[in-house]
Amino acid sequence: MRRKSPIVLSMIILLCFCFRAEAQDYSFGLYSSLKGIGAVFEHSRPGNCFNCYSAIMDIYGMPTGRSNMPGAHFSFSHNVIYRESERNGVIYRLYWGTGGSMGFLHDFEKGLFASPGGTVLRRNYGFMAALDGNYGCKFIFRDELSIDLRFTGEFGFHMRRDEIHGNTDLACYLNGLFRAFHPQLIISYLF
Amino acid sequence: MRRQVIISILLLLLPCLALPAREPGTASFRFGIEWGGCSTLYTAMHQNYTVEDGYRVDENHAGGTFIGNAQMLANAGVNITPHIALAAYSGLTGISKDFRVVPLTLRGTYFFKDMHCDGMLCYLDGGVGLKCKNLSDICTLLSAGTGYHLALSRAVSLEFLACVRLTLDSPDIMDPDTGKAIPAENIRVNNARYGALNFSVALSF
Repeated sequence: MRRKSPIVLSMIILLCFCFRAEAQDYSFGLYSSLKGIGAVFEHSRPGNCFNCYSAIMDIYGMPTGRSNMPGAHFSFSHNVIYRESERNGVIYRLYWGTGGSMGFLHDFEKGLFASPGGTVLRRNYGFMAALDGNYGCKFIFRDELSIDLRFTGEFGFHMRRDEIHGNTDLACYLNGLFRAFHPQLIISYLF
Repeated sequence: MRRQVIISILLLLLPCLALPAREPGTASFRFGIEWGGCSTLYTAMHQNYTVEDGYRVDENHAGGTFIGNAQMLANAGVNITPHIALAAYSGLTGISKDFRVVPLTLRGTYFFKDMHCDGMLCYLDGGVGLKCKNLSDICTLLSAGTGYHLALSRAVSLEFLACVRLTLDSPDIMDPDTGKAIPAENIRVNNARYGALNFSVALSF
């Protein structure tokens, strides 16, 4: 009885801590957009929700030759699936969500393509922090692969060093608003 | 005995009724988008011209390099057979430093298995690129590639592609003294070649 008492006591203590265990869906994917390229991790939450974590290389200015170094962009969002349907073996999920993002990248500057003596990005990289709003549709194929089409708007600030005047500028993060209409494609594998 | 053999043969032929009749080869349309990275690993240039002062310049160099670019393409075409597709491609692709073109190419793709199944594919692509700085100036684009095709559904497929691309160009030559373009009659040789390795992802519908 004495030998068994630690075991019994341990079992009683463990029973007091009943952890809620649920099977969770995870997915890991590739993020592609005119905003940048990167990786995305998602996991499902109770109540038809899922969390999304992304790490992206921001390529503002690079496709048009105005910059040759990317910035860094990290974001988190909590998304709610409000409609789900299935057609021809493909599951469609419409969702919306909110979250936050931060990064070290360029903000918007006028001009599109670089030209000699022209519109290369002049301002420095700067620190960005913003609140996000997402809206998207997830297509799930064969229960193992999903393609997300998502739009994200960001409202926040961009803080950068002004080399000419020697001070620090704090401005509204314009790219978060102007690039809200840029579609984002996320190809994920579901575990 | 004979009756038993006939009945056995008829029973063995019964499953043939369950096999679908082979559909006659009907072409169907396809369209899609493709995006990815281009890394130029080889450049070669040979230029032989006479400058305004009258002396001749001969520049010839080739070698390895690394210039990173990207491409974004859209395509529309036809599935000729379950194994062969033909499509026209256009979009924006980077060739070298500050050298971007709008490609207009034709690609023939061969699917080793049926295009409605997962499997390997290979393709040949050729056409012209309109230089972004001057759309009337063109270069030649040639690609050969391979990839893996995932048939996600009857209508949607995902492809992971890798290819080798060769770009043939005759760039404008600037007189180093005057900064003006050398006239064509003063140019004897003007060839530039770029070799690139491209990796891309494609969605087809």
